[in-house]
Amino acid sequence: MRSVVSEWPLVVFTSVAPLCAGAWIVTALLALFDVFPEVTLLTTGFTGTFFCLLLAAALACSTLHLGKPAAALRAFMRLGNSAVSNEVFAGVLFVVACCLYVLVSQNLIAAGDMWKIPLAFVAGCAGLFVLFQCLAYRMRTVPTWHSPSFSVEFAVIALLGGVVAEGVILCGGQLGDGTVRQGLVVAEVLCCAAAVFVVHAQGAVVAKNVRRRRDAYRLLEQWNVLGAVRVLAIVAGSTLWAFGMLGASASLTWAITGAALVMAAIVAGRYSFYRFYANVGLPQD
Amino acid sequence: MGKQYGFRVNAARCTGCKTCEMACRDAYQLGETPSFRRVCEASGGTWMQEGAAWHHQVFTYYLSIACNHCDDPVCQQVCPSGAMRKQDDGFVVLDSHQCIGCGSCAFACPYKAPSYSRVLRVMRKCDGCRARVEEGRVPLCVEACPMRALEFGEIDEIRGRHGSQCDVAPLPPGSYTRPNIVITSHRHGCPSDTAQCVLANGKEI
Repeated sequence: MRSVVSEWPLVVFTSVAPLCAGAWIVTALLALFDVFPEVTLLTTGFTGTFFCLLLAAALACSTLHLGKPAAALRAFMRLGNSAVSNEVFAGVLFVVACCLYVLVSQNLIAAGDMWKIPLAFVAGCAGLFVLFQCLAYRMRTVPTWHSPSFSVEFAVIALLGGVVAEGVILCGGQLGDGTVRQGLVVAEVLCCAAAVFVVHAQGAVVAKNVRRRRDAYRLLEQWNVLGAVRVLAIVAGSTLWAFGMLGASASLTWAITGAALVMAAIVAGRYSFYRFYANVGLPQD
Repeated sequence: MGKQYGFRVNAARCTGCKTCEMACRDAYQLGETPSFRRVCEASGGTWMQEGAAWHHQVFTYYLSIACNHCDDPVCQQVCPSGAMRKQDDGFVVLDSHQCIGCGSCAFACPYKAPSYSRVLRVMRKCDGCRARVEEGRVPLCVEACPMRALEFGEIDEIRGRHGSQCDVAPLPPGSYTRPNIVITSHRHGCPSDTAQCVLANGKEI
């Protein structure tokens, strides 16, 4: 196995792609329920294009961890049989769906409420992608990745990151009223609590599975430090973000600072995912 | 499926000389690629007080491990490109032309069998010297072992002669992948999943 450093493209991909998926899901929920009049702006123009490009870049980046990036399309060969194939396929489907949606959304919106159907399809693709990502790393010989706490982390990243990203966009564009923002803050608090619980549950899994290693104590010390940093960044970031969202006039600076801290916690979580990988057999140093 | 070949490792005989590893490396010109066969050093024991004196009861034993061509190969299940396949003769073979070098098989394999070649940029692994076996010869590692601690043949025959023990530390319990390997345990051999002995040369293998 290569070192955790060589897996950096996957750290980027598994941090950014679920965030984009979460942003599309949150946007679709806001849009499908007509939460505020300018909601269509979230899926069109700059915002929609930004998330499409970010997602495409993350997907392209993920191929850099392959020995042969040019042969990445062979990852589809076992679609339906390999969890990784399913994840890659769902990711590509999601990118294509949201790019097509952004391209035609202006025309669809002009034609009436028809735009909600393709938007729901894009959100469905995003949900499918997050689901397959949750399942992609579940290997029965890798008890850390096979545990529910590590699997569900992708879904938590998607919702946490999605809510935070949409909040920043609402602040930046001065969109939505106080009720919408309060709703997002409530969602963020729930996601934040879920994320902290996930870090706690992962700690128990790691402690149980590194005990056979000679460097178990050192690894657990590292885990404790990284876990504390993650929890602190999630809580502090969410608090700052909420402060920015709920202020009398929404403060973009606070929201962006909070979002950056939350993103840092997500990246640290993805690093931990690879760093504290534990196999049932011979340790993979 | 027809035949299923497998290895037997006699831990009571293995001295950890690594001749098997070297024979394999030379024959397949592995260069920078980690060895297909690796000699694991398992060690454990402790100090015991007896009156005013302290005695140690430490032990070490060696297990020469390569791909075990498992009946339930997890490497094949996770491979997204279909490069890893269990063949009709029971060998799990990696098609390097199909491999994209994603490393999923290495993450999943509990025996560290697949390794990444930085030069070829694909995974590589033991194929049980399939070409030699087709000619009626035994794999190179078996032929090279000076202690005759390695044995190769049809796994049913080996199990008939030596039993089916394979749950020996530092290897995982065989229930995960059903490996085609029989281990004759060292007198200090510990069961899998024990904390009483650890892999002492983790950086080396």
